[in-house]
Amino acid sequence: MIAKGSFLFTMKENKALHLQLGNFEEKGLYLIFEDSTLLSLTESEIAHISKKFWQDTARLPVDVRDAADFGLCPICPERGKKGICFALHPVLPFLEFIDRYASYDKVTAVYKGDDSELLNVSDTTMTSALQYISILSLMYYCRTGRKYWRYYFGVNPLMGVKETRNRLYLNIYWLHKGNLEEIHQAISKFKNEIRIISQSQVKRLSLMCNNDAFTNAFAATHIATEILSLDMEDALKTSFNTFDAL
Amino acid sequence: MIIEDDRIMRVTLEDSLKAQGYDVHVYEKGMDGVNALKEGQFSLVITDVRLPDINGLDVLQRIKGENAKVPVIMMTAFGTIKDAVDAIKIGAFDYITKPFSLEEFNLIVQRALEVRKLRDGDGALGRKLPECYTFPNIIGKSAEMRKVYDLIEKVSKTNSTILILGESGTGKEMAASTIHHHSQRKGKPLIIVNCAAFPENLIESELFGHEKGAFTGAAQRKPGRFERADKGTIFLDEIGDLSPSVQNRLLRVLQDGIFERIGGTDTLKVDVRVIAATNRNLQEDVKTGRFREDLFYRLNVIPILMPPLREHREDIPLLLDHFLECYNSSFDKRTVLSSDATYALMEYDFPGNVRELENIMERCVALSSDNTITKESLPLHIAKNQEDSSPVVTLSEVTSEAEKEHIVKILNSTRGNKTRAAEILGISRKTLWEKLKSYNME
Repeated sequence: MIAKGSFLFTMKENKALHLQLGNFEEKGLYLIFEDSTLLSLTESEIAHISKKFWQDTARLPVDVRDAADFGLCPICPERGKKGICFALHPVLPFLEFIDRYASYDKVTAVYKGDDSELLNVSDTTMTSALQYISILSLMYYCRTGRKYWRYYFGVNPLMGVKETRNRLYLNIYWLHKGNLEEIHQAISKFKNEIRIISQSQVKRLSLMCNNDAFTNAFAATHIATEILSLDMEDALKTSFNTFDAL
Repeated sequence: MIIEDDRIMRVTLEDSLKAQGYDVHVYEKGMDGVNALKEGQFSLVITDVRLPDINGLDVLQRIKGENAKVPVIMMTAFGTIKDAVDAIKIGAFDYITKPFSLEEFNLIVQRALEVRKLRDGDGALGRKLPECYTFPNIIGKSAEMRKVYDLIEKVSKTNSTILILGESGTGKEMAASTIHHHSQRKGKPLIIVNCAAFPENLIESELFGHEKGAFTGAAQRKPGRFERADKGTIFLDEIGDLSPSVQNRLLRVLQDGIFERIGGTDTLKVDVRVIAATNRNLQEDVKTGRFREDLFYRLNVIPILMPPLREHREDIPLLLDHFLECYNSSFDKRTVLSSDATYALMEYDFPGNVRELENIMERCVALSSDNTITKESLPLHIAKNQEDSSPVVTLSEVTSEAEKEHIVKILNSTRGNKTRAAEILGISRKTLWEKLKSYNME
């Protein structure tokens, strides 16, 4: 948590980067690379760049567009219609820039959530930082995955793995009103669909990427859903006990 | 051991394996994992291909150099067929592409650990077995081989005549040698005679000896193998090939322990334990009159059946490891066996049994140029055998099966909603209904 005002990032190799909090007004993710480049992935910025990009889809190579792997998922409700997968919308406009980096490259990520007073700052890898885009792509833009966007309410892309899992459990528990049978069915369907759409997305990206940051980000988002239900009841119990103890 | 730089993947795989009771150690960097392997014991390594310090293939190579028995599973979200082939050539157990389901991942882990257990002979025969079950040069942990060890251990303590039966290459001579070396006669001679290797007119003299002038060329007295085996053991291999006259003389030795040299009049008495072996069906030979019935019963006091290798395939990895180690040492090499080669060898029937397997390993180690035995380095009939082993099905059967599977998958995803499933499948509801009917899935 950082108070408003001027602050200083300590970068790797003792390099320092001065940034103003005013740079992070909007909700979204900001990536600061080692060469001080700042990439704003705010919701409005993504929507704006995406719209601009998709006005000229001809820039996509023909061989990519024609590749079988580039098509829509077998479970996509848009299947049969012409068009490019919606989940690619928040990805392709940034692909050229992001593809310069490998999954393990370090980056400083600043996340501004709904609460305007809160900022989360983390020195992380590209794969972790790009969770923001992969979750947005699979759970918000994707026509199959968008129904799961609600599961991710309050999930901060810089959260720890277990913290994210607990948050998902609580959201799913709330949305299915604590009906465990329904919850297990929902999780099973969720896992199955996310597996299909993330596998398709990785195949599409593999046609275009020269590096592995994006493909790994999608694989990471997927694996985090695969493990759901493993420790759900214990995690919920712990969460409720913590709440009760307050 | 998991080597994975990505936090989400690392933690998730770790949690999943720990939930199944595995002891898991995680490392972010390749070299950290390699160094940990030098200091500790790991049953399995799972490594990402793209790591911040060294490439996953380098990790694989270093791990194989450190301990060739540790199976390594490679995983990547950015894989090419070439990478996968390279990894398998270096000796990776498997190469999986992200995103994968945890179910798929867990199956591969289980399979890798099973192969590791077989390589170690864990809980069965081999290095970890109690001393009483350890017979050098006889390798195997299967139930079939356990029976053999059990019997060998028991008969070693006796003086009984033994008949070892089994196909060529099953290790009959090895079993005879083991019995002798575990018996009270172990400090005394073990004389081995391959009865099929001598012409009929020479085998008698070879076994019982001859006096000077007994026949043309008998320039001086020569003691036979029975005399040389006195107080020890004689192993008569391929006994089913003995002529009737030699069978007669042999019966006398077995009954009374006495015989005369050819051309001699002195009766000699020896104290020899007889172990005989054959790949023939002696009972059948008795029926046809080719083999003396009384001799058969004299020999068949305690029969030991050496099973063909195809009946105890689970011992193949242990045998492969044994001969790999043996010929690596002979040729001063560090050759490893890739998992595709192991699979191919496990699928093969080995008509020549353990001897054939040993010859293949000797040849492969001798000829390997890049220190890895791949499926392609194996003799053609073995590599081809695996390709041919898939069941014979028509294209239409394969297509129907795939169609059926896909329909089930989609119906599951729509929770049985046929209208929705038909939409997804791009067919009419009527066509879907007809297909369900034809597959008895209504």
